[in-house]
Amino acid sequence: MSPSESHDEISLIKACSNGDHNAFKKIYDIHSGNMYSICLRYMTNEDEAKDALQEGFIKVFNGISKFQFTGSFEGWMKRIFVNTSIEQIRKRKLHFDVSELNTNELPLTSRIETGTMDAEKMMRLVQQLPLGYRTVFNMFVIDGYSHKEISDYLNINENTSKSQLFKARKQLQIWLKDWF
Amino acid sequence: MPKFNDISDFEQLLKEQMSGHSTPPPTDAWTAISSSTAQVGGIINSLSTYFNASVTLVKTGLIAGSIIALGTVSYFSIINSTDIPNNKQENNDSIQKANSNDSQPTFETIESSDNERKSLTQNIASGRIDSKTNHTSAVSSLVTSDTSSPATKKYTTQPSKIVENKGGNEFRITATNYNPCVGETVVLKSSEKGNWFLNEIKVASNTAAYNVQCRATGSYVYHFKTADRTIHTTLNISEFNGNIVKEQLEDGHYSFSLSNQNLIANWYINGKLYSTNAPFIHVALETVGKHEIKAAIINHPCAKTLTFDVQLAPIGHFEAINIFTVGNDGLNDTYRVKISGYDNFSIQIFNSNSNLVFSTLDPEEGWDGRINNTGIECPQGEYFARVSYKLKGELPQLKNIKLTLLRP
Repeated sequence: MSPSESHDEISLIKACSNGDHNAFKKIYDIHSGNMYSICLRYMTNEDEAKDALQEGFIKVFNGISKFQFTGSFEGWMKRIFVNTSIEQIRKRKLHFDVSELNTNELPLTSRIETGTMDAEKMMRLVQQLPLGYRTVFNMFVIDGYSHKEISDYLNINENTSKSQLFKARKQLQIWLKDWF
Repeated sequence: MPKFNDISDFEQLLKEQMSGHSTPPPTDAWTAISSSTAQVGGIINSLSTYFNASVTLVKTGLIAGSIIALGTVSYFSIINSTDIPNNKQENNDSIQKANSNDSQPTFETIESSDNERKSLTQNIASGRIDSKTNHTSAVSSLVTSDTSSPATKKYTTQPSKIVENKGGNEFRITATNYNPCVGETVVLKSSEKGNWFLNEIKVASNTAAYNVQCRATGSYVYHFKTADRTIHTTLNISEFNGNIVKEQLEDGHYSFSLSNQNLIANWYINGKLYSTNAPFIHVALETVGKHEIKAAIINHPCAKTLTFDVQLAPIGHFEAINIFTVGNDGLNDTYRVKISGYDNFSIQIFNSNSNLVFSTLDPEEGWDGRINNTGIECPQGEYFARVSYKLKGELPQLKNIKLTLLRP
């Protein structure tokens, strides 16, 4: 980010914490795409992702005056959206053993086409994981939470978190076997 | 096409791709955010005024401060119940270990802002507005408890249990399951001994653990009391009721849905995953015979896997005779097989020397006993018909039929 952009960001954040709704809209326009991607990764479908996105931005608006400019604003926002998504997931009881899943089969609805591996394809793959696997995989691999934190957040045993990650990786390996 | 050496290569690429990955949100997403945030905008405004004015306020001790503080009260209750990352001392180490670059400053941020919140809270509770004692008590109860202001309820759908139970480091109660199902047993545990109450009725005394037998659905608030403190937790007991509903659509496809519209499931057809996270599926079931539709409900705490069997009756029909007489006597004058409800069909007829004498793809077209229905008349005798066909919803079939040509 260039100095002028970061200066813009600071003034936007300040304006927003003073309740300037136009500044908030600008922040939304800049960051909503990235944040929606996060929600999509965690949530089951686009409707839920939209809900999480909306709830997250409301939290951002209400909490922005607490932002102290000591770290990256995007990182701060990111955590809010991850938290919001997890909170939504936690409302349902997670199912950590989807024994019915036939591990050799990709869901018929979206087999991976051959060709190059791009972000959308990868994201779709992760989305195909059962909810429990996916939540742990998202938190651990992509968003860098530790097993201890995951177990706290999801109210599960640390070993459950580890085994979910193991299963998620195993599942991905099966789906990706042509890519190795 | 990139090849991965192992799963960690994939994960590395995924991580790179996902950082900064952007998907345009639905266009209407902003509308709800805008309307929700516009309502509290005024309060935020008065809060910032409060920040700016606070120094002066300390000096002059203006009672007017309490009026602004009232605005601040509702603001704090909003912050309290939303899940702005809370800096918990016990988590700090692991968080910093796990997030080497990005998140650490984030948490510093939150920590300092958290402290600021605390100090501000103390100021409000103890300092300047003590001339209005009723306000002071209102402030402390709002700030320290979970009570949500009406404004909060618009967008936080449930009070956060985690905050409620983990708030005090040394004194808390936990449940093995906050959303149990009817028939399950939940253990409520506290860090010290005390009495347990349900609806103000004592259910257990002087114990640190209490077993709850979940018998009926509903929301149950359990209070735990020691000599000097009371804490509560809520169990939401639910039960699963639902089944798969079959419907045949106009185009002949089947729709399978869940009797409760709020449920979503992973769907399996004959043991194979067909669709994930869907409230219903549309399937073109064609194969004759039994199909097992299975829905593994994923968004109900007491979900069961539902199954539904569909029996598809045969659609097509095939019948062949093995004798025909040439001559216009009106009986078996041409040779043809009877077939209906088929996807494809072909017949080839050979004489005893294995020479092709007739073939067609049209079951309505019969063989009249001449080579290709136009040439030389074939002699009386034995012929072979090779019929290949596929009836709708069934496997392809190949039949060899021995037939006898009779001439008058």
